[in-house]
Amino acid sequence: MKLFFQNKKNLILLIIVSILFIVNLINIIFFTPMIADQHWAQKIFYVHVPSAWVGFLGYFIVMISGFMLLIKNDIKWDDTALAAAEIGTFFMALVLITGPIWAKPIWGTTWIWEPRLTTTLILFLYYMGYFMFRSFGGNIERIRRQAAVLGIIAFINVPIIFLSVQFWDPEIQSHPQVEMANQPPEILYSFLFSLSVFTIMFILMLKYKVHLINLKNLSNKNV
Amino acid sequence: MLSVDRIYKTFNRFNILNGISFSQQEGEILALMGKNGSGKTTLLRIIARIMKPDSGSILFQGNELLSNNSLFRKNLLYLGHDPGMYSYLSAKENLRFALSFRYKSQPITKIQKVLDRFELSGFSSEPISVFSKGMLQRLKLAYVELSSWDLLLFDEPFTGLDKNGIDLVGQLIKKWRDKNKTVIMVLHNEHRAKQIADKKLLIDSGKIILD
Amino acid sequence: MLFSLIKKELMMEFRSKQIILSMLFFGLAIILIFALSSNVSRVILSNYAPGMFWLMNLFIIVLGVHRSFAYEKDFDAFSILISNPIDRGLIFVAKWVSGFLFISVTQFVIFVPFFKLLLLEFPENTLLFLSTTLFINIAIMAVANLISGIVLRSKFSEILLPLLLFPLLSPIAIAATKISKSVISLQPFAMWNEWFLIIASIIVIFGLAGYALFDYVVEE
Repeated sequence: MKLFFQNKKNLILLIIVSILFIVNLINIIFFTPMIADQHWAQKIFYVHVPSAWVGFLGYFIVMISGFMLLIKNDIKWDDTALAAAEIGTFFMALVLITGPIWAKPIWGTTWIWEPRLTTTLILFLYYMGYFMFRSFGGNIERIRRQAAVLGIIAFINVPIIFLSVQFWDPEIQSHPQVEMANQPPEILYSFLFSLSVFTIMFILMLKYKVHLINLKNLSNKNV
Repeated sequence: MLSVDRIYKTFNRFNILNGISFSQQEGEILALMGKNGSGKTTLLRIIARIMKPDSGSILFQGNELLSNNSLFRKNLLYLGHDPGMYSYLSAKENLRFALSFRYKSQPITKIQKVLDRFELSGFSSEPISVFSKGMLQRLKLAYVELSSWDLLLFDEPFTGLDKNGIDLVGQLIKKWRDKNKTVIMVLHNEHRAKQIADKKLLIDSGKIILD
Repeated sequence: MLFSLIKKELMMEFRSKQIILSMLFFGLAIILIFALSSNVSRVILSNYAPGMFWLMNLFIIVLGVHRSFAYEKDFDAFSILISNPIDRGLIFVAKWVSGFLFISVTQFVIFVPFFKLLLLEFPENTLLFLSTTLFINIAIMAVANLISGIVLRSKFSEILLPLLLFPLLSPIAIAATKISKSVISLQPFAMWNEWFLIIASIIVIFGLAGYALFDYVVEE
């Protein structure tokens, strides 16, 4: 099996992602405007919100891959699900780290039970259980199928979790993400650019992780 | 009656079954043999739809057994190594439930009569957790006797039985043969297989090496 | 068929008495810990009572549901269900219905010690409180039985079950606490109807998902 980056397409993608990432970082640090009452803390949002987007995208892919595994019974869907779950959870962890860093100077507290953050925390904990389930052995073929079901029910539960937390305490200040749409162009376009960079980075990471899982499966296979 | 076509199954990344194919006519008694770990029990559990293979198909009475339609298994009866019954329930209760799952209820008098025949009537109201291995095997035989089926999948029918029990199984096999019933049995004893089976399937490393 | 499956569950419990008794005594132990560890006034405690009630319920449900599926592993009893011509979704429904009955019986019994030992007043709308509790139980048992079926054959299933279940039950925990609090405070239905709808949607979504996916869950 070829090394992942021996494939020209993957190598080009890596170069593009690297360049875009650096450009994004420079843009966030030096060129995005400073908001009067939030200063540097606000800039975390250019990382925090795209991380959340990518995290949820990952979990969505876990759900779709789960459905496809149950229908087609093709192991590649489980590889995709596992890869998406790992990357999604990584970005969710990033959300849970950057969220409090932003929240402290803005809200005066490192944590509030705001709907998006709460949904992120719940899913993060659930997926820790998902990985433990996958690790605790037993028949790998059964684990794959049942993990697919876990991935499906996790994501169908997301709107319920979100709504219930939202109704729980409507006075809790929600993310300013909603207000993003009303922001001036220099903030909005930078945000959208960061969102795109994170999405392309996610695609590259997903492809690479699937490749690694394939390699691991090949080495484990008893021919 | 039964057609097993290119069944593949991996179990914890080991290839347990590698393209198993065979067919069985109505009224045949087939002995499934092989070393420990060769895939005999796995094959039976796949036919019984307790597990699904990675690929392949199994046709039984013209229906695809591996589909989700549970009614295709109506005339198929599976008995594994383990009792496959509820430890807190009595022999009578277990039989009544098991038969209700097969759309076949039997009057309690008939159940009692069969339990008598299999020398379990003295324990018929005790929870089966107190049963010995041999008694549990007899209970399984009673279940077979009371059920209606066209194909029986029986994993090691002689396990734990005393001489009387073995004779009972012999009598049952004769009865099944007379009634043109189809049976697949996992057996370890070559001599016994020769005596009772019409056909022998030897599995080794997930492949059939003798048919 | 469904009736036979439910009857089997009830008979198993009637013989073994493991599920209801273990939930009951575990619940009493939790009430004891609540009473000893919450050194606050009755007024403050009464504010937290609905949350504590549901916290206790969630813990005892984990115990009960795990035990309900553990029966199936003994003597490989589960193979008789899945090898027979039974719609596997009905196995889920039978576990759901029987689980609902077991937790409801336990709650009816533990309701009195909960309020008495914590020195709280019984809700004025006791009937409404218990009715809404039953309704919430339906939702909890749908989710709990689906997850329990998944972890049935895993190693450390007693650890995996709460790990996977509690995050999924968080919306129910929020809704249940809100509903119970509203009922205790004698608020009109219009003020808590959205929580009722959340519970109803969970029942529908997880009921259907459980029925449809249980076939994949129970295969070896």
